[in-house]
Order: sequence, then structure tokens, then C-alpha cells
Amino acid sequence: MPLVVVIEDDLASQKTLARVLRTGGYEAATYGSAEEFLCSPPATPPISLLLDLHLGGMSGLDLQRRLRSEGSTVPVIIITAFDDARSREQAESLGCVAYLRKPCEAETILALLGRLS
Amino acid sequence: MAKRRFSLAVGVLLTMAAVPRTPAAQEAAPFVERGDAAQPAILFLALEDFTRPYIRLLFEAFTDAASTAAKPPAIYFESLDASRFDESQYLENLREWLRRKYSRTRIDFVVAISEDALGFLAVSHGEPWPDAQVMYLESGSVRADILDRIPRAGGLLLEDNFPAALEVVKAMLPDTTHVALAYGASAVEVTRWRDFPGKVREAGLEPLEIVGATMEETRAAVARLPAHAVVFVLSPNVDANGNILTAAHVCELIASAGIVPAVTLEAHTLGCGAVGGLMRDWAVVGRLVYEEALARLKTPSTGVVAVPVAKYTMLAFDDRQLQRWNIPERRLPPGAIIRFREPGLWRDRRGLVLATLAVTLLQSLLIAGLVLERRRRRRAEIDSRRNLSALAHLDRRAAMGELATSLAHELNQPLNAILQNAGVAQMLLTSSAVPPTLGEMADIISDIRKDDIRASEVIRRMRGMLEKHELEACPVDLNDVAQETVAIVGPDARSRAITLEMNLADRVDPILGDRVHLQQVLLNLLMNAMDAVASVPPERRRVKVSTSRNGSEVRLAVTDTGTGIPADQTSKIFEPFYTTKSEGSGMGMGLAIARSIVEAHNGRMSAENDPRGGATVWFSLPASLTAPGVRL
Repeated sequence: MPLVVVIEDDLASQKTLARVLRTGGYEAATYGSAEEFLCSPPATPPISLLLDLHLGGMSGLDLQRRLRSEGSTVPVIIITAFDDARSREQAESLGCVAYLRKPCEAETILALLGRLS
Repeated sequence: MAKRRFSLAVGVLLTMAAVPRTPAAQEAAPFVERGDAAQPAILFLALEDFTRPYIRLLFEAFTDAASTAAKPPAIYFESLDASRFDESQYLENLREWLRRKYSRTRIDFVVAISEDALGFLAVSHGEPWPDAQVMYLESGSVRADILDRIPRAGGLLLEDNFPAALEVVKAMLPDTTHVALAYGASAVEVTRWRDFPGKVREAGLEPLEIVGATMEETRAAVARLPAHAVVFVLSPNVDANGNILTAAHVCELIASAGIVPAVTLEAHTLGCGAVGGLMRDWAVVGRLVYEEALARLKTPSTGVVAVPVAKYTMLAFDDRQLQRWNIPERRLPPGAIIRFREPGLWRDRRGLVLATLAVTLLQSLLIAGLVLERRRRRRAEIDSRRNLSALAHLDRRAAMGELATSLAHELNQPLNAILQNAGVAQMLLTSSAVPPTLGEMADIISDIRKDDIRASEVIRRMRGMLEKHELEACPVDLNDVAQETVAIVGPDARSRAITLEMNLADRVDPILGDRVHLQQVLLNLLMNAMDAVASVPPERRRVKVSTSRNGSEVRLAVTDTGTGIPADQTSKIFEPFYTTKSEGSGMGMGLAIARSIVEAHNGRMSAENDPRGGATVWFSLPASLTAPGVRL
């Protein structure tokens, strides 16, 4: 099953996203922070990263910036409860493929992943 | 009848006086004088004896006055007892007896009390003391035939007080029409009062005589007196049955029998039922008699001295009788003495009563003033608390407004989870592939419920902070306050990459206070702290909330790792409108309101810089067991 990485500091949201992904036929690797992900990335390359913007410590955008700088081409989808124009522009400029605002439907996420895969 | 007998006796005696002195008188020799030749000897010769109060008072005052002299005179007293024994033979026997009695005793001066006593001396040219000076005491006038028989007698004439006494009665009881005169049945009394009915008429009143009666008859006659009458009790001596009467007793009997007021001419009968009036004071007369006798001993004189009414009378009244007969004090002549007054606090201690009333009034005014002041202060306190509550509410709304974005995020998290879980459940139920297990569905539903509760909690916290709320006093755990408030600002802290820490004491005593307002205080401190760390790198952005027990107080502190408070402004940060933030970021009222809330809880608040950087703002409140009655 294709792997999707979820980086979300809210445990309830993290658990729900993992459930959505499994239901859509994906394997989910969940992390509570960007630092955790960087320390122990998954063994297999993911088809996408679902990133929360506001994480304890390094933010989602900072992580994307770093991944980009390291040459990563894994599509990144931002899922956030904050919907400010500046963050949206930054995400776009950093090459994020989508910027989803919570609450968002499970089908929306799966449809997006379907297009990516 | 008795009067006629006594007059007859005096007449017989006057005839006998023409006869030369009896051999018995000559037998008195050889004369051996008793006593000190230089010490004058004065003899009181009275018609009546000491059973008459006026005689007793007169003699006592005389002897009292005499006792003060450098060389007091020798004083003797003899009574003719003529009220009942008035036969001429008795009087002659008495004279003989006195002659023998005083045969060896020199008498220099004889004071004859009344015209009758003088008459006794007059019939035999002063016998049994023919060589002594004689001074008589009488009221009004003395019969000329008596004076003719004893031309060496001088006198002290008391001016008649009866007309003046009648005027006092008229002033005191203006409706008076009749004056009853009650006196005894003896000849002496009949003679003594014979002119009085005429004096009553001269005063414009109608006289009624109650005379020659028994005591019972007298009382019955008094009881029948007309309505506008007064009865003059003229100290009856002997009644129709020959009974000796005492003035006080008679006065009581007559006054108690009457339906009209009783008045008297004798001061010593006041208090026995009579209203009072212008009365003879026999003690005064006694002193006057002594002074006149002393003067005549030094310089013999046959002159007659008139004593004015004012000099020997007193104007006195019995208050009980004034009350009984409804006689107002204003009707009494000026200078009247009122005796037997019932003790009256107002009358006797007027100054004390007025002072007490004044003090009581002053105290009452003071108490009323203090009560009003207390009420005014209480009202001001209530207004102040209401204003504080209103201001605090505005401040909470402003703070929650600042937190609105992060709170929306906080609310979106569970809503998002609910939506996605519901979406998953729907996909599973509609999927044509493997049907969902019950366990999987139960797990999804359980998560939905948890997220729903989580969302509700966010809304509850927001509503708690946004509602208008008056200060209340309830037991509050500051650890709970810390946790609840940290939950509110948590999302904002996360969005600003600030690490929020809590270092709560295991257990702190509850304090008496208002939970919402105390949360507001902490919310202010936390938001200020988060603003303070905003300018430092994310990895150093830390805000810590701690609680601790400090003696009898519970302390809550917020420590940040920001740039600290300018050293000279740690005391100013709690002042209204003090702010270090840019314009439009706040009015600078948050900490001022926070401090007001803390002070309303009898607490205190302070700020201090940490030498390692950052600042700590804390407040402490008395633990509820030691709180001195927090009034919110």
C-alpha cells in the first residue's frame, strides 16, 4: 500500500487522518512534530506528506522549506485550522500541492491523494 | 363660754389688785437670791404649754438664740394653762404658787406670750415678779385696760398676717367665695379669733365659722362647705368635749374631710394636709423675741415694736396639695417655697436630664451619620465592584477577541476530526468491498463523541469568559484556575511557537473568590507574558505558570523568558493606561483591572525581573481558612 506521512501535533486529528488514509487504501505513518519526522523518517518513501502548519517546535512550512532545500519532491499537502493569506502564499511558493482548511472532508483528502498517485 | 369665764376671772383679779400685797408675799423674806447676780434671768410666761407646737418652737428658738450669747441668760418657763383652767381662784392660787416658787430666784425680765399672759401680770402690777421688766408678744393689738394696769410693760406686736394670707388665697384660688374658719371651743380661742370673720369680709369673701364643735362635727361641717370655699385651720386647741387637740392631727382630719382646700396660718402645720399660704414662722418669732429682750435688758424700754408681716412669716406650699387641688405654680406669689415635692427627674435634675438627652441625641446623630456613611460607603463599594465587573467584562471580551483566531483553530480541530470520522464511517458503510466491523464503527463513534465533548469544552470556556459576570465569593482552587486558563491560551501559544509550562503545587488550599475573574487575571498575565516572549527566538519562547503556598497565602506566578520589564517601571505596569505595546494593541487597562480584581479579593500583586532574563508577575490571595471575610 502506498505510504502517506501525517505530521500533526493534535493527537485526535492525527488518529482521524490515519483512519481516513487506511480507509482510502493507504498506509499512514504518523508523527507529532517535524523534529520527530526528521529524526526517524519512514523506511519507504511516502507518496505524500500531510502537514499541519502549527506544530510544537518547527512549523509545517519550515519543514517544507527544509525538505525542499534538501531536494525532496514528495508532494506536500497542508491541512490547517489557520487560514491566513500569508501562510497560503508561503505554502504555494514552497511548492505545496494543496492547502486544505480544517474542517475538511475525508473524501477531499482521498480524492487529492488519488490524483497524486 | 370659756372665754367669758376667763374674762370674768381677769376682771375679778383686776379688782383684787387694789388690795395691798398679801402677807404671804411678805413672808417670802428673808430673800436669798439664787444664781449669778451678773447673769440675767428671763422668764417666759405663756398662756399655753409645750403641747402647743407654736409655744415649743418659740421657746426653742429663743433658747437656741440665747445659747449663742457670750454669757447666756438663765431662762425659765411658766404656763398659765389657761385654755382649760381659767377660773380666777385658780389663777390667784397659781400666782401665789409662783411667788413661792420664785421667792429665792431673781427674775429680771418677763416675756409675756399673748395678751392673756400680760393680763395675768396686769391684775397685780406684775406679781409675782413686780420688779422685772415686762415685754409682751401679741399679734395685732393689746387691750388698753390691760396696758393701763401695767404701764411698765413694753411689747412686740406682730402685724396681722391674716389679710395678707387671704390675698394669697385669692390669688391661688381665684374662684374662692367663702372662707371657713375652723378653731377650737376654748374661751382663749374664741377671743383670739373674734375679729377674723370681719377681716374675711374686708377681703371681699364670705366668712363661715366652724367653732365650738367636736372634732366629728367640725369634719362634717367641713364636708358640707360650698364648692368655692377654703377652710382656714386656725390651730384648734380644745374641742367642745374639752379634748386637747394637736395642730397637726386636726389639720390632717380637717383637710382629709374636706371637698375644699385647707389653708393654715402656721408654718409648722404645713405637710399635714393644708395647701399652705402666708404662715407665721414661730422659730423666727422666737429669735426676734430674744433679740428684743436682750436689747431691753441692756436698755430698759417700755416701747412697742411692730414686726412687719414679711419679717416673721413664710410663704410656703405643699406640692402634694397643689397637685390635689390643681393649683398651678404660676398662681403662687413670687418667692413662694414649694415643699414636699415628689422627686422628679426633670424638675430636680434638669441639667443632668438635658445633658443626657443632648449626649443621647448626639450619639444618635453620630450613629445615624455613621450608618449613613457606612451605607454610602457600601453603596460606593457595590458601585465600584459593579464598575469593576463591567470593566473586567470588557477586558475579557477584548482578550477573547485577541484569542479569537487561536480559539477558532482550537474549535476547528475537533470539528475537523468529527467531520472526517463521519466521512470515514460513511465510506465504510457504502463501500462494496469488505464490510466494516462493529468494533471499527464503535471506535469511530467513540472518537466522534470525544471530539464533540472537546469542542463543547472550548465553547464552554469561551462562554465562561465572555459572559457578563458579577464578582462572587466561592471556594476556588488556583490549580484549577491555572489549568483552565492555560487551556484557553494554549492554542494561541502554539500558534506563536510559545512553550507553555505548568508547575503546580501538589495541593493548594482553596481561596475564597470568583473563579471567572481570577481566570481573567491569569489570562491577562499569560497574554502579557506571551507578548513579552514574542520578540525572542522560538526556542526560547517559554511561559511558565506556577502555584505555591506562601505562609497563609496561595500564590500564582507567571514567569516568562522575554526581555523583562524596564527597571524603573516595575511599579508602573499596574497603573491604568500603562502600556509598552504599539498603538492599537491595547489600552493598557489589563493589568490595572487585574490588580483591582486581586485587591477586591484582599490579595496583592507584584512584578519583578528575573536576573537571568524575563520577568515574573505574581499575585497571592489569602487561603480561605485565613481569609478575613472576603466581600465581593
